[in-house]
Amino acid sequence: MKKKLLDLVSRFYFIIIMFFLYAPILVMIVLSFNNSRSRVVWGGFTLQWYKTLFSNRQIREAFFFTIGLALLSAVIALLIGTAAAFGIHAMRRRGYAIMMGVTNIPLLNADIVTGIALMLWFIRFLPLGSGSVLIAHVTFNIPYVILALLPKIEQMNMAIYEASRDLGATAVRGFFTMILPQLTGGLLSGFFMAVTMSMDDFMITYFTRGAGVNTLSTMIYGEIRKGIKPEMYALSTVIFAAVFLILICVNFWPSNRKAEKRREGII
Amino acid sequence: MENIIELKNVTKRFEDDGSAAVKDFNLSVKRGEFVTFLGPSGCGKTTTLRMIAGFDTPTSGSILLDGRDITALPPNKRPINTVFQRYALFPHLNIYDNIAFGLKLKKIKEDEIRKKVTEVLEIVDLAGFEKRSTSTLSGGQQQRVAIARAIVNEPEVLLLDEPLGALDLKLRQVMQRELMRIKKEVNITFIYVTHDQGEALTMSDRIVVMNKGIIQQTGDPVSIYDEPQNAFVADFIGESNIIDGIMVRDRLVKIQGVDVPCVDTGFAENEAVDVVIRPEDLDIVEEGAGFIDGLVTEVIYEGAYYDIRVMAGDYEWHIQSNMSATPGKKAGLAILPDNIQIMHKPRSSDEEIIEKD
Repeated sequence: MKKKLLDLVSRFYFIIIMFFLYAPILVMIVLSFNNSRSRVVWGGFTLQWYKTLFSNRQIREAFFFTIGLALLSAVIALLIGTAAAFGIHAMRRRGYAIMMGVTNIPLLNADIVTGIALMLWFIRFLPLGSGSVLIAHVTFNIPYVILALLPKIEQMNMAIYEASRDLGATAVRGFFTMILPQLTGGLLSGFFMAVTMSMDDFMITYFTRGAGVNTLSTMIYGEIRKGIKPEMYALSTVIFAAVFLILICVNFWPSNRKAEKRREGII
Repeated sequence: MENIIELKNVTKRFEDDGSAAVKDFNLSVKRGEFVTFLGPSGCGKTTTLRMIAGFDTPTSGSILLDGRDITALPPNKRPINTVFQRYALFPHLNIYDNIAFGLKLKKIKEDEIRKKVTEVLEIVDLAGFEKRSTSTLSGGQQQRVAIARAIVNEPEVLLLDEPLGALDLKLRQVMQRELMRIKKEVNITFIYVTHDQGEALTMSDRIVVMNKGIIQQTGDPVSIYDEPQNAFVADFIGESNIIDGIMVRDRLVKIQGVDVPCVDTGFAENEAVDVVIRPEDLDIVEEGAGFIDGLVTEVIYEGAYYDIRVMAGDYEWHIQSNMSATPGKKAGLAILPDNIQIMHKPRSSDEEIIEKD
């Protein structure tokens, strides 16, 4: 009896959690297909909001800018973050602790503080525009790459790198054939994390963009101030779907799995 | 025989605290020799090996190969190959590709590589294993692949870093014999690192005993075992009774107040010395029949011998004898003068003990 009750309570708790987490998103997705401007009446299924969405030049531009920004900032952050992760790995205890602290600051810092700080900095040195947004995104993406990569570097099998050098491989060849393959998983998850974070960001973009530069999130914000239109539901659904897709990629990427197995084989 | 590897005044200091892992190391290895670096962990033996391989560079001093200075040469440019402690096989390559790795980098023709790999697999007793994945092999088999991967390149010198450390005792003994056979077959100079004195004594032509980055003694296994030059070597190689003594005059040493004849000469009169006696050289005799009497405190049957402890004065003697004794009874200890080894006291701490010839 008691067990049954406990079961019921835990099930109820779970449903409540899921409800508050996902019901709003679900409602939004449903409304994006609603053939009515009302937020309470179901007027039948339609794709017209998506149609108007993609026929809007401004929104299209913002969409491609968002994607381009996410990919480019992730690639740059990946390059800088990888070098940084190797550097931090080589540090001794004290420097290591300090650098990890420094890395964590942008993660824990309120976005609005980072955003305003970067804005002040950019105003002084370069015009606000797509360039400043890119630099800002690279800045907050680097820590994610470092955090994804550092544990992989730490558990890396260095002996096989040395073995390859011993058998005649140059340092560069040894790095690409022995070290890089061990880091594929970390590099991929760092990259996708950076892409997601970049697409997700509103606050920092809002403060560091110039006039006329819009990502989807700043675009939605601007539109919504003028009044909530169903196109925005459609747009938000698209963003949600994109991020969801990337998350699935990160978790089920085949080489990610393979790298995992390979490492287990080594250890 | 000419020297193939020479280490001249090689010192390696750690970057963090400047302490020396290897201090003023001098050694010449002859072509075809089997040399073993023996010592406890942290004695600098692996660091020395890594400097010969090219993974670490000496802080000062130079390393010569065939008379040519290779101190600054990267590992891929040295005709030296290594068998690593945990094998370090490439997990993404099969056995064939593991072994062919070095040959492929040398741009050798495919059919020649195939021939060489087949040959070397036969040498290490793994014929037909080409297509297998490394993860399907046992520890001993992985070890053989690691050896094959190194010797297939026909290096001038083969470095082995505790290659048998991960194997169990039985397999270790089999592999020791295998290694000696392989060594004979390929006729390459072996430099071997181990902390296992049995392994060193079994396989080596010459043993370099190291402690705290300093060579304690260099010599063939028999001289290392029978004539340790200081207390560290005596204690590290096999078991020993090491006791204070006074060299009364040539061929006479005073141990625990008793004059005992020995064969050592060349010490100052009444010089304080360390006396080393191997437990198997002591015999249990009737009370009063030996050079000293004591109380038998412990007798353990070890199969091939009895392990006996006898308390005499303030020193507990360790004896390995095929004669038993009765605990709690008095007994005498006897020794042949030949089996007493006299050593100078170290001048200061054991860190300062250097090679004495």
